[in-house]
Amino acid sequence: MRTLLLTCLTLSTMASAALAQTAAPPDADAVQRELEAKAIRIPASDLAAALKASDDGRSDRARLVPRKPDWEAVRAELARTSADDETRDNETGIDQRRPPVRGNRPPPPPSGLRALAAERLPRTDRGETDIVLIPLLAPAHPDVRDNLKVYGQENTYTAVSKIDNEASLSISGVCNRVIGGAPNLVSLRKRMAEGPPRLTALRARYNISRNEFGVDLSFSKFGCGYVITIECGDTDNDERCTEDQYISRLADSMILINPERAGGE
Amino acid sequence: MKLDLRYMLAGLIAFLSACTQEEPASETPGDPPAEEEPAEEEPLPEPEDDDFLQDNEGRVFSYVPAGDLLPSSGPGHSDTTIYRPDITFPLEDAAFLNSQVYRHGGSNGGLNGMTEGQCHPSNYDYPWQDTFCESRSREQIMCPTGGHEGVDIRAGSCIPETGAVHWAVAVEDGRIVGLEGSKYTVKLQTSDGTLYRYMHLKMDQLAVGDGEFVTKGQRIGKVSNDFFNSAGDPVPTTFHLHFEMYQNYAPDEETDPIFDQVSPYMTLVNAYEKKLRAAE
Repeated sequence: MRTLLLTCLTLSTMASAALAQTAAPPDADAVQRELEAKAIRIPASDLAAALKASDDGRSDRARLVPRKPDWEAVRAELARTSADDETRDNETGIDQRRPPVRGNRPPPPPSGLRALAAERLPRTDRGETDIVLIPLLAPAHPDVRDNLKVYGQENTYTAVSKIDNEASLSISGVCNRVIGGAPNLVSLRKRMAEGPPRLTALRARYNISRNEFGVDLSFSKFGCGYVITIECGDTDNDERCTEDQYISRLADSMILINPERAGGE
Repeated sequence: MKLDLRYMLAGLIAFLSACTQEEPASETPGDPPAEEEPAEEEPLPEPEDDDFLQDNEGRVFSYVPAGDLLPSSGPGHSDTTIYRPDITFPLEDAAFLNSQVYRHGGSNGGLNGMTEGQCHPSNYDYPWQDTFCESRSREQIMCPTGGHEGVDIRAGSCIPETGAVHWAVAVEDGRIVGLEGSKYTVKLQTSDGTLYRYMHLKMDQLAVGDGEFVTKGQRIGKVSNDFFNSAGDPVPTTFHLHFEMYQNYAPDEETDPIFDQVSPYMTLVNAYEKKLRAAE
Protein backbone atom coordinates (compact mmCIF):
# COMPACT_ATOMS: atom_id res chain seq x y z
CA MET A 1 0.00 0.00 0.00
CA ARG A 2 2.80 2.33 0.99
CA THR A 3 4.60 1.59 -2.27
CA LEU A 4 1.43 2.38 -4.21
CA LEU A 5 1.04 5.69 -2.42
CA LEU A 6 4.65 6.59 -3.09
CA THR A 7 4.28 5.72 -6.74
CA CYS A 8 1.15 7.89 -6.99
CA LEU A 9 2.95 10.75 -5.25
CA THR A 10 5.95 10.46 -7.56
CA LEU A 11 3.73 10.36 -10.64
CA SER A 12 1.71 13.36 -9.56
CA THR A 13 4.92 15.32 -8.83
CA MET A 14 6.22 14.46 -12.29
CA ALA A 15 2.91 15.50 -13.86
CA SER A 16 2.98 18.82 -12.00
CA ALA A 17 6.55 19.40 -13.12
CA ALA A 18 5.58 18.63 -16.69
CA LEU A 19 2.65 21.04 -16.48
CA ALA A 20 4.85 23.73 -14.99
CA GLN A 21 7.27 23.18 -17.84
CA THR A 22 4.47 23.60 -20.39
CA ALA A 23 3.45 26.90 -18.88
CA ALA A 24 7.00 28.23 -18.77
CA PRO A 25 7.98 30.67 -21.51
CA PRO A 26 9.84 29.13 -24.42
CA ASP A 27 13.58 29.11 -24.36
CA ALA A 28 14.82 31.81 -26.72
CA ASP A 29 17.97 29.85 -27.55
CA ALA A 30 15.92 26.79 -28.43
CA VAL A 31 13.68 28.87 -30.71
CA GLN A 32 16.77 30.28 -32.39
CA ARG A 33 18.31 26.83 -32.80
CA GLU A 34 15.10 25.62 -34.40
CA LEU A 35 15.27 28.44 -36.93
CA GLU A 36 18.88 27.63 -37.71
CA ALA A 37 18.05 23.97 -38.19
CA LYS A 38 15.48 24.68 -40.88
CA ALA A 39 17.30 27.57 -42.52
CA ILE A 40 18.44 27.23 -46.11
CA ARG A 41 22.00 28.05 -47.10
CA ILE A 42 22.86 28.88 -50.68
CA PRO A 43 25.85 27.10 -52.23
CA ALA A 44 28.69 29.43 -53.03
CA SER A 45 29.13 27.88 -56.44
CA ASP A 46 26.82 29.42 -59.05
CA LEU A 47 26.22 26.04 -60.63
CA ALA A 48 25.40 24.26 -57.37
CA ALA A 49 23.15 27.17 -56.35
CA ALA A 50 21.30 26.95 -59.64
CA LEU A 51 20.87 23.19 -59.26
CA LYS A 52 19.40 23.65 -55.79
CA ALA A 53 17.26 26.70 -56.59
CA SER A 54 14.08 24.74 -57.08
CA ASP A 55 14.49 22.78 -53.81
CA ASP A 56 15.23 26.01 -51.97
CA GLY A 57 12.19 27.88 -53.26
CA ARG A 58 14.30 30.23 -55.36
CA SER A 59 13.00 29.43 -58.82
CA ASP A 60 9.41 30.77 -58.94
CA ARG A 61 9.56 33.90 -61.04
CA ALA A 62 6.72 36.15 -62.03
CA ARG A 63 6.94 37.96 -65.36
CA LEU A 64 5.91 41.38 -66.52
CA VAL A 65 3.41 41.53 -69.36
CA PRO A 66 3.05 44.92 -71.07
CA ARG A 67 -0.61 45.79 -71.59
CA LYS A 68 -2.49 48.67 -73.20
CA PRO A 69 -5.65 50.08 -71.65
CA ASP A 70 -9.05 49.49 -73.20
CA TRP A 71 -9.85 53.04 -74.34
CA GLU A 72 -13.02 51.85 -76.02
CA ALA A 73 -14.30 50.77 -72.61
CA VAL A 74 -13.30 54.17 -71.20
CA ARG A 75 -15.37 55.96 -73.86
CA ALA A 76 -18.30 53.66 -73.22
CA GLU A 77 -18.10 54.32 -69.47
CA LEU A 78 -17.98 58.09 -70.01
CA ALA A 79 -20.95 57.92 -72.36
CA ARG A 80 -22.93 55.85 -69.88
CA THR A 81 -22.32 58.32 -67.02
CA SER A 82 -23.10 61.23 -69.32
CA ALA A 83 -26.42 59.68 -70.27
CA ASP A 84 -27.20 59.05 -66.58
CA ASP A 85 -26.31 62.67 -65.76
CA GLU A 86 -28.58 64.00 -68.48
CA THR A 87 -31.44 61.95 -67.20
CA ARG A 88 -30.77 63.18 -63.67
CA ASP A 89 -30.37 66.83 -64.84
CA ASN A 90 -33.69 66.65 -66.55
CA GLU A 91 -35.27 65.29 -63.41
CA THR A 92 -33.61 67.66 -60.91
CA GLY A 93 -32.71 70.70 -62.99
CA ILE A 94 -29.10 70.65 -61.64
CA ASP A 95 -26.10 70.32 -63.94
CA GLN A 96 -24.06 67.41 -62.55
CA ARG A 97 -21.08 68.11 -64.79
CA ARG A 98 -20.29 71.64 -63.70
CA PRO A 99 -16.61 72.29 -62.99
CA PRO A 100 -15.39 72.62 -59.40
CA VAL A 101 -15.55 76.04 -57.81
CA ARG A 102 -13.00 76.74 -55.11
CA GLY A 103 -14.33 78.51 -52.06
CA ASN A 104 -17.87 77.51 -52.86
CA ARG A 105 -17.53 73.79 -52.60
CA PRO A 106 -20.13 71.78 -54.42
CA PRO A 107 -21.50 68.68 -52.77
CA PRO A 108 -19.85 65.34 -53.49
CA PRO A 109 -20.54 64.35 -57.08
CA PRO A 110 -22.81 61.45 -57.89
CA SER A 111 -21.21 58.15 -58.67
CA GLY A 112 -19.72 57.26 -62.04
CA LEU A 113 -16.77 58.26 -64.22
CA ARG A 114 -16.59 61.77 -65.68
CA ALA A 115 -13.97 63.56 -67.73
CA LEU A 116 -12.28 66.58 -66.22
CA ALA A 117 -9.30 68.14 -67.96
CA ALA A 118 -6.16 68.73 -65.91
CA GLU A 119 -6.29 72.52 -66.31
CA ARG A 120 -9.42 72.56 -64.21
CA LEU A 121 -7.50 71.13 -61.28
CA PRO A 122 -5.70 73.89 -59.40
CA ARG A 123 -2.64 71.92 -58.21
CA THR A 124 -2.20 69.67 -61.20
CA ASP A 125 0.66 70.30 -63.60
CA ARG A 126 -0.40 69.74 -67.20
CA GLY A 127 3.08 68.48 -68.08
CA GLU A 128 2.66 65.65 -65.61
CA THR A 129 -0.69 64.54 -66.99
CA ASP A 130 0.14 64.90 -70.69
CA ILE A 131 2.84 62.29 -70.49
CA VAL A 132 0.54 59.59 -69.09
CA LEU A 133 -0.68 57.12 -71.71
CA ILE A 134 -3.09 55.18 -69.52
CA PRO A 135 -6.45 56.32 -68.08
CA LEU A 136 -5.49 58.78 -65.35
CA LEU A 137 -8.19 58.32 -62.75
CA ALA A 138 -8.67 60.09 -59.43
CA PRO A 139 -11.53 60.42 -56.95
CA ALA A 140 -13.96 63.17 -57.91
CA HIS A 141 -14.71 64.25 -54.37
CA PRO A 142 -13.81 67.94 -54.00
CA ASP A 143 -11.78 67.23 -50.84
CA VAL A 144 -9.44 65.19 -52.99
CA ARG A 145 -9.79 66.63 -56.48
CA ASP A 146 -8.92 70.23 -55.66
CA ASN A 147 -5.61 69.28 -54.01
CA LEU A 148 -4.47 66.67 -56.49
CA LYS A 149 -0.82 66.60 -57.43
CA VAL A 150 0.09 64.20 -60.23
CA TYR A 151 3.41 62.40 -60.74
CA GLY A 152 3.20 61.13 -64.28
CA GLN A 153 5.19 58.56 -66.23
CA GLU A 154 4.22 57.08 -69.59
CA ASN A 155 2.82 53.78 -68.34
CA THR A 156 2.01 54.59 -64.76
CA TYR A 157 1.20 57.46 -62.45
CA THR A 158 0.58 58.39 -58.85
CA ALA A 159 -1.63 61.27 -57.75
CA VAL A 160 -1.70 62.48 -54.17
CA SER A 161 -3.95 64.79 -52.23
CA LYS A 162 -3.96 66.03 -48.68
CA ILE A 163 -7.51 65.62 -47.41
CA ASP A 164 -6.88 67.45 -44.13
CA ASN A 165 -4.28 67.47 -41.35
CA GLU A 166 -5.21 63.95 -40.34
CA ALA A 167 -5.47 62.14 -43.65
CA SER A 168 -4.07 62.06 -47.15
CA LEU A 169 -4.90 60.10 -50.24
CA SER A 170 -2.90 58.65 -53.09
CA ILE A 171 -3.94 56.75 -56.16
CA SER A 172 -1.62 54.82 -58.46
CA GLY A 173 -2.46 53.11 -61.70
CA VAL A 174 -0.76 50.83 -64.22
CA CYS A 175 -1.89 48.60 -67.07
CA ASN A 176 1.20 46.41 -67.32
CA ARG A 177 0.62 43.36 -65.26
CA VAL A 178 2.74 40.82 -63.46
CA ILE A 179 1.65 37.23 -63.88
CA GLY A 180 2.65 33.76 -62.75
CA GLY A 181 4.98 32.87 -59.91
CA ALA A 182 4.65 30.16 -57.30
CA PRO A 183 1.96 27.61 -58.21
CA ASN A 184 0.24 27.90 -54.81
CA LEU A 185 0.07 31.67 -55.23
CA VAL A 186 -1.44 31.37 -58.69
CA SER A 187 -4.17 29.04 -57.33
CA LEU A 188 -4.83 31.31 -54.35
CA ARG A 189 -5.09 34.41 -56.54
CA LYS A 190 -7.44 32.67 -58.95
CA ARG A 191 -9.73 31.76 -56.07
CA MET A 192 -9.55 35.32 -54.75
CA ALA A 193 -10.47 36.71 -58.17
CA GLU A 194 -13.68 34.71 -58.24
CA GLY A 195 -15.51 36.43 -55.46
CA PRO A 196 -14.55 40.06 -54.82
CA PRO A 197 -17.37 42.62 -54.64
CA ARG A 198 -17.89 45.25 -57.32
CA LEU A 199 -17.90 49.00 -57.08
CA THR A 200 -21.47 49.77 -57.99
CA ALA A 201 -21.00 52.76 -60.26
CA LEU A 202 -17.72 51.77 -61.90
CA ARG A 203 -18.74 48.14 -62.15
CA ALA A 204 -15.22 47.18 -61.17
CA ARG A 205 -13.95 44.39 -58.95
CA TYR A 206 -12.25 45.64 -55.81
CA ASN A 207 -10.50 44.57 -52.63
CA ILE A 208 -9.91 46.48 -49.42
CA SER A 209 -6.83 45.87 -47.35
CA ARG A 210 -5.41 47.60 -44.29
CA ASN A 211 -1.82 48.41 -43.50
CA GLU A 212 0.43 50.30 -41.14
CA PHE A 213 -0.49 53.60 -42.72
CA GLY A 214 -4.19 53.23 -43.32
CA VAL A 215 -6.28 51.50 -45.91
CA ASP A 216 -5.97 50.46 -49.56
CA LEU A 217 -8.72 49.90 -52.07
CA SER A 218 -7.53 48.11 -55.19
CA PHE A 219 -9.75 47.88 -58.23
CA SER A 220 -9.47 46.71 -61.76
CA LYS A 221 -10.90 48.70 -64.66
CA PHE A 222 -10.23 49.19 -68.38
CA GLY A 223 -7.71 46.35 -68.25
CA CYS A 224 -5.61 48.23 -65.70
CA GLY A 225 -5.06 48.05 -61.95
CA TYR A 226 -5.49 50.97 -59.57
CA VAL A 227 -4.87 51.31 -55.86
CA ILE A 228 -6.27 54.10 -53.72
CA THR A 229 -4.54 54.53 -50.36
CA ILE A 230 -5.73 56.66 -47.50
CA GLU A 231 -3.07 57.31 -44.89
CA CYS A 232 -4.40 58.35 -41.51
CA GLY A 233 -2.49 59.94 -38.66
CA ASP A 234 -4.48 57.77 -36.29
CA THR A 235 -4.78 54.58 -38.29
CA ASP A 236 -6.56 52.60 -35.61
CA ASN A 237 -9.25 55.16 -34.79
CA ASP A 238 -9.90 57.38 -37.82
CA GLU A 239 -13.07 56.04 -39.43
CA ARG A 240 -11.76 56.93 -42.87
CA CYS A 241 -9.17 54.23 -42.33
CA THR A 242 -11.02 51.81 -40.08
CA GLU A 243 -14.28 51.64 -42.03
CA ASP A 244 -14.76 50.68 -45.68
CA GLN A 245 -17.44 53.22 -46.42
CA TYR A 246 -15.33 56.35 -46.94
CA ILE A 247 -12.79 54.85 -49.31
CA SER A 248 -15.36 52.87 -51.30
CA ARG A 249 -17.47 55.98 -51.73
CA LEU A 250 -14.42 57.84 -53.07
CA ALA A 251 -13.75 55.02 -55.51
CA ASP A 252 -17.31 55.01 -56.76
CA SER A 253 -17.07 58.53 -58.14
CA MET A 254 -14.03 59.15 -60.33
CA ILE A 255 -12.68 61.67 -62.79
CA LEU A 256 -10.59 60.99 -65.87
CA ILE A 257 -7.87 63.66 -65.88
CA ASN A 258 -6.49 62.93 -69.35
CA PRO A 259 -9.73 62.75 -71.36
CA GLU A 260 -7.93 63.75 -74.58
CA ARG A 261 -6.50 60.22 -74.66
CA ALA A 262 -10.06 58.94 -74.82
CA GLY A 263 -11.05 61.44 -77.48
CA GLY A 264 -11.75 64.64 -75.56
CA GLU A 265 -13.48 65.90 -72.44
CA MET B 1 33.40 32.15 -59.46
CA LYS B 2 33.94 29.61 -56.69
CA LEU B 3 33.45 26.05 -57.84
CA ASP B 4 32.08 23.62 -55.34
CA LEU B 5 33.78 20.44 -56.50
CA ARG B 6 31.86 18.21 -54.12
CA TYR B 7 28.50 19.23 -55.58
CA MET B 8 29.78 19.05 -59.13
CA LEU B 9 31.33 15.64 -58.60
CA ALA B 10 28.19 14.25 -56.97
CA GLY B 11 26.10 15.60 -59.84
CA LEU B 12 28.46 14.15 -62.42
CA ILE B 13 28.45 10.70 -60.76
CA ALA B 14 24.66 10.70 -60.58
CA PHE B 15 24.44 11.72 -64.24
CA LEU B 16 26.94 9.10 -65.43
CA SER B 17 25.33 6.32 -63.42
CA ALA B 18 21.94 7.21 -64.91
CA CYS B 19 23.42 7.13 -68.44
CA THR B 20 25.23 3.82 -68.00
CA GLN B 21 22.33 1.92 -66.48
CA GLU B 22 21.74 -1.09 -68.75
CA GLU B 23 18.41 -2.60 -69.60
CA PRO B 24 17.98 -5.75 -67.50
CA ALA B 25 18.75 -8.88 -69.57
CA SER B 26 15.70 -10.95 -70.34
CA GLU B 27 15.59 -13.90 -68.05
CA THR B 28 14.71 -17.43 -69.08
CA PRO B 29 11.76 -18.67 -67.06
CA GLY B 30 13.02 -20.91 -64.36
CA ASP B 31 16.44 -19.25 -64.10
CA PRO B 32 17.19 -18.09 -60.60
CA PRO B 33 17.30 -14.28 -60.39
CA ALA B 34 20.80 -12.91 -60.63
CA GLU B 35 22.05 -11.68 -57.30
CA GLU B 36 23.13 -8.06 -57.29
CA GLU B 37 26.05 -6.88 -55.29
CA PRO B 38 24.85 -4.01 -53.12
CA ALA B 39 26.75 -0.94 -54.28
CA GLU B 40 28.67 0.75 -51.55
CA GLU B 41 27.91 4.44 -51.56
CA GLU B 42 30.55 6.85 -50.46
CA PRO B 43 28.90 9.33 -48.09
CA LEU B 44 29.28 12.91 -49.23
CA PRO B 45 31.59 14.87 -46.97
CA GLU B 46 29.87 17.35 -44.67
CA PRO B 47 29.86 20.73 -46.38
CA GLU B 48 31.86 23.47 -44.78
CA ASP B 49 31.07 27.14 -44.32
CA ASP B 50 33.19 28.01 -47.35
CA ASP B 51 30.83 25.99 -49.51
CA PHE B 52 28.04 28.46 -48.85
CA LEU B 53 27.45 32.05 -49.69
CA GLN B 54 28.84 34.38 -47.03
CA ASP B 55 28.61 38.07 -46.35
CA ASN B 56 31.65 40.31 -46.22
CA GLU B 57 32.15 39.50 -42.54
CA GLY B 58 32.36 35.78 -43.24
CA ARG B 59 28.93 34.90 -41.87
CA VAL B 60 27.07 32.24 -43.83
CA PHE B 61 23.88 33.70 -45.26
CA SER B 62 20.80 31.60 -44.60
CA TYR B 63 17.05 32.09 -44.63
CA VAL B 64 14.05 30.31 -43.19
CA PRO B 65 11.63 29.31 -45.97
CA ALA B 66 9.03 31.85 -47.08
CA GLY B 67 5.91 31.95 -44.94
CA ASP B 68 7.52 30.09 -42.02
CA LEU B 69 7.06 32.56 -39.20
CA LEU B 70 8.15 32.56 -35.56
CA PRO B 71 5.96 30.60 -33.14
CA SER B 72 2.91 32.56 -31.93
CA SER B 73 3.30 35.15 -34.68
CA GLY B 74 0.68 34.01 -37.15
CA PRO B 75 0.21 31.47 -39.92
CA GLY B 76 2.24 33.40 -42.48
CA HIS B 77 1.79 33.42 -46.23
CA SER B 78 3.86 31.00 -48.21
CA ASP B 79 4.79 32.87 -51.37
CA THR B 80 8.09 31.92 -52.99
CA THR B 81 7.53 34.18 -55.99
CA ILE B 82 10.42 36.35 -57.08
CA TYR B 83 8.42 39.27 -58.45
CA ARG B 84 11.33 41.46 -59.51
CA PRO B 85 14.43 39.39 -60.27
CA ASP B 86 16.61 42.35 -61.14
CA ILE B 87 16.24 44.68 -58.19
CA THR B 88 19.15 45.68 -56.08
CA PHE B 89 18.92 45.06 -52.34
CA PRO B 90 17.37 48.05 -50.51
CA LEU B 91 20.20 48.46 -48.01
CA GLU B 92 23.82 49.17 -48.85
CA ASP B 93 25.34 46.97 -46.15
CA ALA B 94 24.58 43.60 -44.60
CA ALA B 95 20.98 43.24 -43.51
CA PHE B 96 18.85 40.97 -41.37
CA LEU B 97 15.21 40.26 -42.08
CA ASN B 98 13.39 39.23 -38.95
CA SER B 99 10.57 40.15 -36.65
CA GLN B 100 10.52 43.49 -34.86
CA VAL B 101 7.58 42.45 -32.68
CA TYR B 102 8.13 38.80 -31.73
CA ARG B 103 11.87 38.88 -31.09
CA HIS B 104 14.15 40.66 -28.63
CA GLY B 105 13.17 44.30 -28.35
CA GLY B 106 9.67 43.67 -29.66
CA SER B 107 6.44 44.07 -27.73
CA ASN B 108 5.63 40.35 -28.08
CA GLY B 109 9.17 38.99 -27.81
CA GLY B 110 8.24 37.35 -24.50
CA LEU B 111 6.03 34.88 -26.37
CA ASN B 112 9.23 33.34 -27.68
CA GLY B 113 11.25 33.88 -24.52
CA MET B 114 13.04 36.76 -26.24
CA THR B 115 12.93 39.44 -23.59
CA GLU B 116 16.13 41.35 -24.15
CA GLY B 117 16.65 44.59 -26.06
CA GLN B 118 16.59 45.19 -29.80
CA CYS B 119 20.41 45.07 -29.99
CA HIS B 120 20.55 41.41 -28.96
CA PRO B 121 23.14 39.72 -31.21
CA SER B 122 20.67 37.15 -32.54
CA ASN B 123 18.61 39.98 -34.07
CA TYR B 124 21.68 40.93 -36.07
CA ASP B 125 22.53 37.55 -37.48
CA TYR B 126 21.22 35.00 -39.96
CA PRO B 127 18.99 33.20 -40.65
CA TRP B 128 16.55 35.64 -42.15
CA GLN B 129 12.93 35.07 -41.41
CA ASP B 130 9.81 36.13 -43.27
CA THR B 131 7.52 38.69 -41.60
CA PHE B 132 4.96 39.14 -44.37
CA CYS B 133 1.55 38.36 -42.81
CA GLU B 134 3.01 38.35 -39.32
CA SER B 135 0.06 38.76 -36.93
CA ARG B 136 -1.46 42.21 -36.74
CA SER B 137 -4.95 43.35 -35.96
CA ARG B 138 -5.37 44.72 -39.50
CA GLU B 139 -7.26 42.97 -42.27
CA GLN B 140 -4.89 42.29 -45.12
CA ILE B 141 -6.19 40.47 -48.15
CA MET B 142 -3.24 38.11 -48.40
CA CYS B 143 -3.29 37.35 -44.67
CA PRO B 144 -6.52 35.57 -43.72
CA THR B 145 -6.34 36.42 -40.00
CA GLY B 146 -4.88 39.89 -40.45
CA GLY B 147 -1.26 40.69 -40.84
CA HIS B 148 1.83 42.66 -41.65
CA GLU B 149 1.88 43.79 -45.27
CA GLY B 150 5.61 44.12 -45.77
CA VAL B 151 8.87 42.77 -44.42
CA ASP B 152 11.10 44.27 -41.76
CA ILE B 153 14.81 44.65 -42.35
CA ARG B 154 17.39 45.40 -39.70
CA ALA B 155 20.52 47.21 -40.84
CA GLY B 156 24.05 45.86 -40.58
CA SER B 157 24.44 46.98 -36.99
CA CYS B 158 22.19 48.04 -34.13
CA ILE B 159 22.14 51.80 -34.57
CA PRO B 160 21.40 52.82 -30.94
CA GLU B 161 24.50 50.87 -29.92
CA THR B 162 26.88 51.64 -32.79
CA GLY B 163 25.64 55.03 -33.93
CA ALA B 164 26.43 53.85 -37.46
CA VAL B 165 24.70 55.24 -40.52
CA HIS B 166 23.10 52.64 -42.75
CA TRP B 167 21.70 53.81 -46.07
CA ALA B 168 18.59 52.62 -47.81
CA VAL B 169 18.90 52.76 -51.60
CA ALA B 170 16.61 52.74 -54.61
CA VAL B 171 15.99 49.12 -55.58
CA GLU B 172 15.34 50.14 -59.18
CA ASP B 173 15.36 53.18 -61.40
CA GLY B 174 12.19 55.10 -60.67
CA ARG B 175 10.59 58.20 -59.28
CA ILE B 176 10.02 59.38 -55.72
CA VAL B 177 6.31 60.13 -55.50
CA GLY B 178 4.05 61.67 -52.89
CA LEU B 179 6.83 62.69 -50.54
CA GLU B 180 5.36 66.11 -49.88
CA GLY B 181 3.47 65.89 -46.62
CA SER B 182 4.33 62.26 -46.02
CA LYS B 183 5.11 61.69 -42.37
CA TYR B 184 7.12 58.51 -42.48
CA THR B 185 7.01 56.85 -45.87
CA VAL B 186 9.00 57.22 -49.04
CA LYS B 187 7.41 55.82 -52.20
CA LEU B 188 9.36 54.80 -55.25
CA GLN B 189 7.50 54.08 -58.49
CA THR B 190 9.17 52.42 -61.45
CA SER B 191 8.34 53.23 -65.06
CA ASP B 192 6.51 49.91 -65.44
CA GLY B 193 4.35 50.53 -62.43
CA THR B 194 5.87 48.69 -59.48
CA LEU B 195 5.49 50.68 -56.31
CA TYR B 196 7.82 50.34 -53.32
CA ARG B 197 7.35 51.84 -49.88
CA TYR B 198 10.18 52.54 -47.48
CA MET B 199 9.20 53.31 -43.92
CA HIS B 200 10.97 54.50 -40.74
CA LEU B 201 13.79 56.30 -42.56
CA LYS B 202 15.20 59.44 -40.98
CA MET B 203 12.63 61.67 -42.66
CA ASP B 204 14.32 65.01 -41.98
CA GLN B 205 17.58 63.83 -43.58
CA LEU B 206 16.40 62.19 -46.80
CA ALA B 207 18.79 62.14 -49.73
CA VAL B 208 16.00 62.53 -52.31
CA GLY B 209 13.36 65.10 -53.11
CA ASP B 210 9.71 64.92 -54.01
CA GLY B 211 9.20 63.94 -57.65
CA GLU B 212 12.90 63.20 -58.19
CA PHE B 213 13.89 60.50 -60.66
CA VAL B 214 16.40 58.19 -59.05
CA THR B 215 18.64 55.44 -60.32
CA LYS B 216 19.06 51.93 -59.00
CA GLY B 217 21.37 51.95 -55.98
CA GLN B 218 21.03 55.68 -55.34
CA ARG B 219 20.84 56.58 -51.68
CA ILE B 220 17.36 57.46 -50.46
CA GLY B 221 17.68 57.85 -46.71
CA LYS B 222 19.11 56.56 -43.46
CA VAL B 223 17.60 53.61 -41.64
CA SER B 224 16.01 54.90 -38.47
CA ASN B 225 12.94 54.47 -36.28
CA ASP B 226 10.78 57.41 -37.40
CA PHE B 227 7.14 56.74 -36.61
CA PHE B 228 4.62 59.32 -35.45
CA ASN B 229 1.04 59.49 -34.35
CA SER B 230 -1.45 62.06 -35.65
CA ALA B 231 -0.33 64.57 -33.02
CA GLY B 232 3.21 64.33 -34.38
CA ASP B 233 4.46 62.54 -31.28
CA PRO B 234 6.94 59.71 -31.80
CA VAL B 235 5.59 56.17 -31.57
CA PRO B 236 8.22 53.76 -30.30
CA THR B 237 9.56 51.25 -32.78
CA THR B 238 12.85 49.51 -33.37
CA PHE B 239 15.48 50.77 -35.81
CA HIS B 240 14.64 49.04 -39.07
CA LEU B 241 13.38 49.49 -42.60
CA HIS B 242 9.81 48.39 -43.24
CA PHE B 243 9.73 47.55 -46.93
CA GLU B 244 6.66 46.98 -49.12
CA MET B 245 6.12 46.10 -52.74
CA TYR B 246 2.96 46.64 -54.79
CA GLN B 247 2.41 44.74 -58.01
CA ASN B 248 -0.44 44.84 -60.51
CA TYR B 249 -0.71 41.09 -60.22
CA ALA B 250 -2.86 38.64 -62.15
CA PRO B 251 -2.55 34.88 -61.86
CA ASP B 252 -2.82 34.56 -65.65
CA GLU B 253 -3.40 36.58 -68.82
CA GLU B 254 -7.20 36.33 -68.61
CA THR B 255 -7.89 37.26 -64.99
CA ASP B 256 -8.32 40.91 -64.00
CA PRO B 257 -5.26 42.19 -62.17
CA ILE B 258 -5.28 43.49 -58.62
CA PHE B 259 -2.76 46.18 -57.78
CA ASP B 260 -1.83 45.38 -54.19
CA GLN B 261 0.90 44.46 -51.77
CA VAL B 262 2.75 41.23 -52.44
CA SER B 263 5.33 39.43 -50.36
CA PRO B 264 8.79 40.82 -51.16
CA TYR B 265 10.56 38.09 -49.15
CA MET B 266 11.92 35.88 -51.94
CA THR B 267 12.55 38.88 -54.18
CA LEU B 268 14.82 40.14 -51.40
CA VAL B 269 16.48 36.75 -50.91
CA ASN B 270 17.25 36.79 -54.63
CA ALA B 271 18.55 40.36 -54.50
CA TYR B 272 20.72 39.60 -51.46
CA GLU B 273 22.18 36.52 -53.12
CA LYS B 274 23.19 38.69 -56.07
CA LYS B 275 24.61 41.31 -53.76
CA LEU B 276 26.78 38.75 -51.94
CA ARG B 277 27.96 37.20 -55.20
CA ALA B 278 28.87 40.60 -56.58
CA ALA B 279 30.95 41.27 -53.48
CA GLU B 280 32.88 37.99 -53.78
